[in-house]
Amino acid sequence: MSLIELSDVKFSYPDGTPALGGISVSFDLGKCYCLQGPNGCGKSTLFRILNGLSFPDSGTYRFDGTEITAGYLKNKNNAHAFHRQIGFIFQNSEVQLFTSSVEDEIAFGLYQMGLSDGVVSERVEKYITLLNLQDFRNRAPWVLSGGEKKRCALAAVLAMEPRVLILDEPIAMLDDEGQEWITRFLEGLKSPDRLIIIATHNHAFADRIGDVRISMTKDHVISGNG
Amino acid sequence: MNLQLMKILSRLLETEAGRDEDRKLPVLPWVRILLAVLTIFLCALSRNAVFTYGVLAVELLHLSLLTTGQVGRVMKRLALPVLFTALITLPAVFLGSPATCLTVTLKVTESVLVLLLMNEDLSWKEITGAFGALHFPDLFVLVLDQTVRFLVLLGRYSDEILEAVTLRMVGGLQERISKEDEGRRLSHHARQHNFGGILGTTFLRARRMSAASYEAMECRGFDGTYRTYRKRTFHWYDGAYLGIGAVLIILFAFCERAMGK
Repeated sequence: MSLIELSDVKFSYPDGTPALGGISVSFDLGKCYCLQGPNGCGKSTLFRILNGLSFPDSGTYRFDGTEITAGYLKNKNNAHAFHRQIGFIFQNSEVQLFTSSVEDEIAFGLYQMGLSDGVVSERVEKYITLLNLQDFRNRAPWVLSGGEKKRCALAAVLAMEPRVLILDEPIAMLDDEGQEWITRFLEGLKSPDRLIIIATHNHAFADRIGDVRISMTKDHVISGNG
Repeated sequence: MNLQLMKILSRLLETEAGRDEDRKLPVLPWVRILLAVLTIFLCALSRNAVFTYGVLAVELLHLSLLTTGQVGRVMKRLALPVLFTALITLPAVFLGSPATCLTVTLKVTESVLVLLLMNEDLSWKEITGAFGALHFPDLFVLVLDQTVRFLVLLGRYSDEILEAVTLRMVGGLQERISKEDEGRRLSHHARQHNFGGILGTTFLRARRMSAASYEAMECRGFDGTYRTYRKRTFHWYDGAYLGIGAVLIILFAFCERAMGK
């Protein structure tokens, strides 16, 4: 059984704009999927559904065998258990960083998980070192550069040690050095216990990092899988 | 208007950049805030000049330990409230109560000086974190943090729009100002019109950003709790600093008792 299964998922926005026209796809642990397609084909909408921020108009979304619906996530314990397993890096890191320092950003999710102060402290130090954020630990996220914000967002999400990591255009708006750093870092994250799903327009990046390529079309369906 | 926006933004950010971490008092932020509130409270209640002048002397001593830049910043910000207070209490001098003018101005000086000195040492993060340590409601601390964050982000956004509008107005503006009075009137209308558009766009952007931020918080399991990360525990110098508060209370009581005799 795949970790994530979408079966004939359709979705339209409230104003009637179609976003997904019947998506059937599955994602397995241990692989890195690269989702590609033109602007407006529904990649970001698909990610919103995978993260439980939007729900399909029809079709089913199963995570680890459990159907994810609005009713299911209304339960606080279900929502907690679900969200700690999926880490999502937004395309624009600015909206994802909402506390007043890098340390607070990393600690936020850990406090929501109910971890003790000692464990929180340990993980904050671990991920500050891993993402090379020592010089910025007390700085407000809004004064960081684009690449630093991306690393801060990664640290904040990875600190929760999710099984699934979803990244929306992770190397967009980064310089060459920043792109190379993120690419090498993501290569290091690949493991049999983790599923990585990346949306990207960059073919070279997808070739380098992706195990499986998925293409979406302007008709909001998947044209190729594998 | 660009300049005014940048000035406000820079005020929020400049103390972050200008703060010298090595010269900071190592005391916990919540201890400092508690002592500052106590000092302001006791000064406001005090009827004894000895106490008031004593507190002022200690604050000026603290001020003298700062760098030149910090002293300049503090004095610039202190000037307006002090002058304003002196001005509005000036009539008391002519009504036969000059001590009132002096006392009120002195107390305002002390209160503002305490806050400015605290501001030189503590960042916004530490101040909002201190409210969390003092068991203020999570929602209060969250709203404070988000207010500062959105002020900075939306200020930057507005400034970028202003620049874009200014660049777009260049050709049209030159044609307008070639006819003096007519040009002045038209460019004023154009600015007013654009100002409304910028405000509207900023409001819409604020809505989108706050919705996106809430989704990001949901993705990290947000359920209403909002704790700030604190790794430093209570040390002996924090206790010593609190001891200053105790001394202040004793001195206040002693001075008030002396007034009563």
